[in-house]
Amino acid sequence: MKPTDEERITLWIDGELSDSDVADLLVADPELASVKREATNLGDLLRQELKADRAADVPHADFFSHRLRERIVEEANADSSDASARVSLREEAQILPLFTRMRFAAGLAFVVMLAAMIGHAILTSSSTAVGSEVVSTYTPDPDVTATTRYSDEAEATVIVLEGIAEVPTGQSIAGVFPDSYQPCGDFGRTVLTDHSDGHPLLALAIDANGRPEFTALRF
Amino acid sequence: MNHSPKILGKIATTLFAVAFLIASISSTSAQQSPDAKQDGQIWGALFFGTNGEVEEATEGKAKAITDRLRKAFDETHFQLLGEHTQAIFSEYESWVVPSKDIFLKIDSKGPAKDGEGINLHLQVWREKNVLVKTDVVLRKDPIFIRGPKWGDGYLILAIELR
Repeated sequence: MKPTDEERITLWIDGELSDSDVADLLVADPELASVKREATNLGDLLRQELKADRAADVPHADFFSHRLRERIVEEANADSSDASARVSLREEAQILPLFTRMRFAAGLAFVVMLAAMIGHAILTSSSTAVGSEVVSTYTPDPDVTATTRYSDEAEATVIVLEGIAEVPTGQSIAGVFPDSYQPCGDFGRTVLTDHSDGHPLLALAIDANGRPEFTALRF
Repeated sequence: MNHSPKILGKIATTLFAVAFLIASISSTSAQQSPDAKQDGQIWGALFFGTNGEVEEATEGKAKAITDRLRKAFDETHFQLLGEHTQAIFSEYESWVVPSKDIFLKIDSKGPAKDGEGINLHLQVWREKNVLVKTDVVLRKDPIFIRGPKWGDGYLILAIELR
């Protein structure tokens, strides 16, 4: 069967038509030469554009696709393991309900203990700054003992001395009301003045052993 | 006229004693150390605690302390015998003397670490004997020291930071 003119023109443009057939076509229609040139130019233009698009493609597309598939598989496996873990917890809760509840109880207990410790620290720090403290006591007389306590009701620190000889009943205890005095650099020169009138009240002397001795200056 | 020499002698003795006293006071004033660093002021008071009837303080610091003594001890009444507010210094010992029979020697050891109060070394003296030596941190609350029995009650020292 002999090809039609359109088939021959297509073969010609594709470069598959013999020279004699090409000559026959051009004899029949000379304008086909310009049609062929336009078709060839259009083909070249399309090939150039296709090359530009290829350059923008992902390099090593096969390797990229391979890694992509691997990642999809990994994520799929991870999802399935999470699901299995959830199932395990659910199963565990069904099998050991007490153990599961103890987890929550332990967490709650930890929070409560932490709050209690913080509260205690705040209360302790605010109260210790008020009360006086007795760091140590020493009684030179071995028959005398000193016991210390804090009276919450009185808000006072108390030292009780036991074993001290009583003050003889007939002995009077003379109280005085002196003013504050200034220190002096010499022993035995301190004079206490009466708070009410400023007059000399007592002379305080310290002997070489550091023992005090009072002399009444007002009789 | 026969007694004149004796009278003159007494006058001379009296004048000598007065002169000695004035000299002592002058000497004290001359040797005061104006540069002494003051660490604070201590109020010390001597109370007699008893279940009997005594006259109690009705106002001031002594009244407030009396109310606290009643809460701290078994006795019901507390009589103020004497009180002394004394400045204490970092380089000098101080004597708080509410009575010449029972009194305190105080050495300042500087401010407390927390800044509230002062570290003190206290000695409670009864005439020429030390009853107790103690290291304390004196803060807002007072310290009560119950000492010897006297009559139907006890002698109690109260110390407070001013």
